[in-house]
Amino acid sequence: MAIFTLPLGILVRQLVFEIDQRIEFIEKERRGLHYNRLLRNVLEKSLAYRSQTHEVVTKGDRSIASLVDLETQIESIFQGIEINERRDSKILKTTPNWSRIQATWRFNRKALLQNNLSPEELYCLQSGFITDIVKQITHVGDTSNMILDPDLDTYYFLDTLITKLPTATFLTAEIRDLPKVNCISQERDPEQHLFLLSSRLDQSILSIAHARQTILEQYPEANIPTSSYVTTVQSTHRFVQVIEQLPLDRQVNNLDLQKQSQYSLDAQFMLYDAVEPLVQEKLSLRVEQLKARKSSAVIFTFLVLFIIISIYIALTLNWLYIRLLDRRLSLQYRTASVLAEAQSLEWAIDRILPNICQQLQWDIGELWQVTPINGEIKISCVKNWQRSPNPRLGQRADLSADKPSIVSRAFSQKQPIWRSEVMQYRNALIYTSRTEFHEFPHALALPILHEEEVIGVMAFFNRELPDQSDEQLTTLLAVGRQIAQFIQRQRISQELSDAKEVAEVASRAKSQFLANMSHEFRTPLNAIIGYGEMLHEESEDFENTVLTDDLSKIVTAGRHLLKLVEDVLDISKIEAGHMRPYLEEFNISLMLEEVVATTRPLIQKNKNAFVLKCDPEVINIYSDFLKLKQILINLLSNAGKFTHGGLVQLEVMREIGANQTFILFRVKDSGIGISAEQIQKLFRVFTQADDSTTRKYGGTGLGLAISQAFCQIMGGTLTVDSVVDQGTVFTVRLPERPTNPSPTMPISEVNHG
Amino acid sequence: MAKVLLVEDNDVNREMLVRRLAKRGFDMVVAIDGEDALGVARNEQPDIVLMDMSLPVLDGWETTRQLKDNRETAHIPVIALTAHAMIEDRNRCYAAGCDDYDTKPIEIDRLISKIQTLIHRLSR
Repeated sequence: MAIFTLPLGILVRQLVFEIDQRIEFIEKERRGLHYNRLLRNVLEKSLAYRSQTHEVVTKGDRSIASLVDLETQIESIFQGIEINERRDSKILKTTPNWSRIQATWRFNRKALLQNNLSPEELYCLQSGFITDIVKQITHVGDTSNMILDPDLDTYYFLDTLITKLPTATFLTAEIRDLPKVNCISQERDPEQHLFLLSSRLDQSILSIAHARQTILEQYPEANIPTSSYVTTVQSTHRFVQVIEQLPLDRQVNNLDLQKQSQYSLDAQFMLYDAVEPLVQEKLSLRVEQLKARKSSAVIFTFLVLFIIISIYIALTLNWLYIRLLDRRLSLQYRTASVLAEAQSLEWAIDRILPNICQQLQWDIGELWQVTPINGEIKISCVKNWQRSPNPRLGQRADLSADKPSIVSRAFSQKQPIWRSEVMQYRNALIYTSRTEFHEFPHALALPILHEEEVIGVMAFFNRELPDQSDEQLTTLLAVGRQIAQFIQRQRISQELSDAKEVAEVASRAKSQFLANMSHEFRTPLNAIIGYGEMLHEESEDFENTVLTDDLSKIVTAGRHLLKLVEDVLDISKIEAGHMRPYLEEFNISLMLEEVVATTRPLIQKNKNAFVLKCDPEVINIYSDFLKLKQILINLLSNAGKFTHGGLVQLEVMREIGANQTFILFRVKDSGIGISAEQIQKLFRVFTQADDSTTRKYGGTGLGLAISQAFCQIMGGTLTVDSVVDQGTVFTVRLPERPTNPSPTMPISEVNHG
Repeated sequence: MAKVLLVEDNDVNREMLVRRLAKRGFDMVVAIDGEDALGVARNEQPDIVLMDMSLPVLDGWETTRQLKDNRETAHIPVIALTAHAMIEDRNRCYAAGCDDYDTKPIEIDRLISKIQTLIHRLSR
C-alpha cells in the first residue's frame, strides 16, 4: 500500500508545491502592482504639487491655501499606501523607503509653512521627494518579482510600468520645471544638463515604443492599448523637439512648452492607466489557470488514490475470505484425518477440541454427548479443554435437558446459541466452582445433529468477545457434522459388534450342542449296531433266514444313522469355522492301505474292478491324515456306489509346480456320470446329484461338501470332471508341504468315550 | 483261551461286547472304572486289556499309565477304545502306554484281528 501511495504523494506534493510557488510569485507581483498604482498617483499629484508650489512661492504669495486641495489628495493616497504597507511591507520590503518618503513629505510641508526657504530650495526638496517615489516604484518592481516576470508580454508591460514610464515622467517634469528654477547644479552647464535629460527621455520613450513593438511581434493577438502608446510616444517626442528648438532662456514661461509637457505627462499617465489593468488581468488569468491546474492535479491524485485504496480493500477482503476459507478447510481436513484414525470419540476429541479452540480463538472448548437413559436424557461432558488449565474449574457435572444451561438450551432448541451477556447467565453455567464464570462471559453452544436428532453439543467459552461471524458458525457446524457422523459410525459399529457377539455366542452354543448331541447319539447307536450285528450273527447260526434279513436291515440303518450323525457334526464344525487341519507328516502308502481295505468290499460289491496306481516318487505328505483318509474313502465309495460292472481307479501322482509340489489323488470311475447342471449343485450341503439318488444309492448328501471343505482347509482343492454315462473323475490336489503351515489348532473334542 | 479284560463304564456297551467276544471264544473279565480295572488286572492277570478312555473316577489314559507303571501289570498289552479317533487322541493313547487303538463303534472282526495280533506278538 505505502509502496504505491508514497511516490504518488511525493510527486503530487511536488507538483502542488510548484504551482503554489508560482501562484505566490504572481500574487506578489499583483501586490506590487497594486502598491505601485498608489505610488503612481502620488507621483502624479506631487508633480502637480511641485509645480504649483513653485508658482505660488515665486509669486510671493506664500499662503498655502491653494495647495490644500492637492495636499489633501496626496495625504489620502498616503492613507491608502499605509494600508498596503501594513499588509505587504514584509513581502515588498518597502518600509525604509516609505518612512523616508513620509518624513520628507512632512519636512517639506513644514518648510513650506515656515516660509524661510527660497523657492529654489523648496523645489530641490520636493524634487528629492519625487525622486524617492520613483525609486520606490522601481524598488517595489524589484521586490515584488515584477522585474523577473517569466512571460515576455507581461515582462515588457511591467518593465514599462516600473522603470520606463516613471523615468520618462520624472524626466519630462524635470525638463519642464528645471528652467523655471535656478537650482541646477553650479558645476554643470545648464544647457548641457538639459540636453542630457532630454536625450535620456528620448531613450526611455524609444524603449517604451520598442517594448510595444516586441510584444506585438511575439503576441500578435495581445490586446495592446495602441492609441495610448502612440499618444505617449508622439507627445513626448514633440515635447523633446520643442525643447531642443528653444534656447534655454526662452523656455521659461513658454506656453507651447508648458502645454506640450502637460500633454506628454497626461499621455504617460494614461498609458500607465491603460497598461496596468491589462497586466492585472493577465496576472489574475494566470492565477486562475494555475489554480485550475492545481485542483485538477489534486483531483487526479485523489482519483488514483481512491482506485488504489479500492483495489487494496478488494484484495484484502478477498484475501481475508480466502484465509477464512482456508482456515475452515484445514480445520475440517484435520478433523477428518483425526476421525479417520480414531478408535474412540474420547481419543478423537482430545485432538480435535484443542485444534478448534486454537484456530478459532476460544479459551475453553467442550464436547457433550447426549445419551438417553431410561427415557430420560442425560447430557454428559466428554471433554473439557482449557487454554490455560485451571484445576479450580473442576469436572463438569452431567446435565438434563431442562437445566438452565447454554448446553441444554442448544440441545432443546436444536440451534446454535450465542451468549455475550455477562452476569445474567452466570448461574446457567454449571461448573462446580461457579465463580470462575466471571472470567468467561462469552459463549457459543452448537448442537451436533444427526437426522434432526441432537446427539451432542459443542460449547465454547471466551474471556474476550469472540468472532461472531457467519464464517465462524459455518466452520463449527461443518466440524460438528463430521463429529456427528463419527459418533453415528461408532454407534453402528458398536451395534454390529454386539450383534456379532450375540451371533457368535449362539453359534458356539449350537456347535457345542451338536457336538454333545452327536456323542449322545453315538452311544446308543453303538448298542443298536452292536446288538444288531450280534443277533444277526446268531440268527445266521440258527439259519433263521427271515430274522437274518430283518436284523441286517437294522444294522444297515444303524450304520447309516451313525454316518449321518458324524457328517452333521463335521458340517457344523466347518460352518462354525472350527474345523482346522491337524498337520503331520505321514506315509501315503500306509494310508492308502487303510483306505483300500475299507473301500474295496464296497467297490467290489457292484462287480467293479479296482485298480490302484501309485507313482513311485510319491512317499510322504505333510497333511491331515484322518481328513485325507475320510475324503478318499468318501470318493471311492461314491465311485463304487454309482458304477456297476465297471472300473474304479485310484491314481496318485506328484505334480511339481513353480513354487510348490502337489500330490494328486484321482478317483476315476466308468459309472453313470454327472451332468453339467448337476455338477453345479454337487458340493452343496444336503444335495445329491439327483434327489432320487438318495433313495436309490443311500448316503447322507454331505460327503462331497465335507470333502471339499477338508481339501480347502488343508490348502488344496477338490475338482470334478464328468461325462454322463461315461464316468466321473474327482481330483484331490493337496500341497505336499504347505508353504506357510498354519500352527495346528487341535479341535477340543467333547467326547472321548 | 485268551483272557480279555474289558474296561467300560456303559453297561449296555460293556455287556454287548462281553457277549460278542465270549461268543468268539474269549475268556472275559470286566471292570467298570479305572480304579476297578487296576485291581482286576492285578488279580486276574488277563492276556489283554480293552480300555475305554473316558472313564469315571480314573480315566483311561491315567489307568493305562498306572498299569504300565506297575511291575505286575506292565507286560499286559492295552488296546484303547475311543469314540472319535482324532490324531491327538491316538497320540495321547500311545503316550500313556497303549499298544494299539480302535475307534467306536466297534467293528468286531477288526477288533478281534487287533487282539490276536497283539497276543501272538507277545507270546512269540
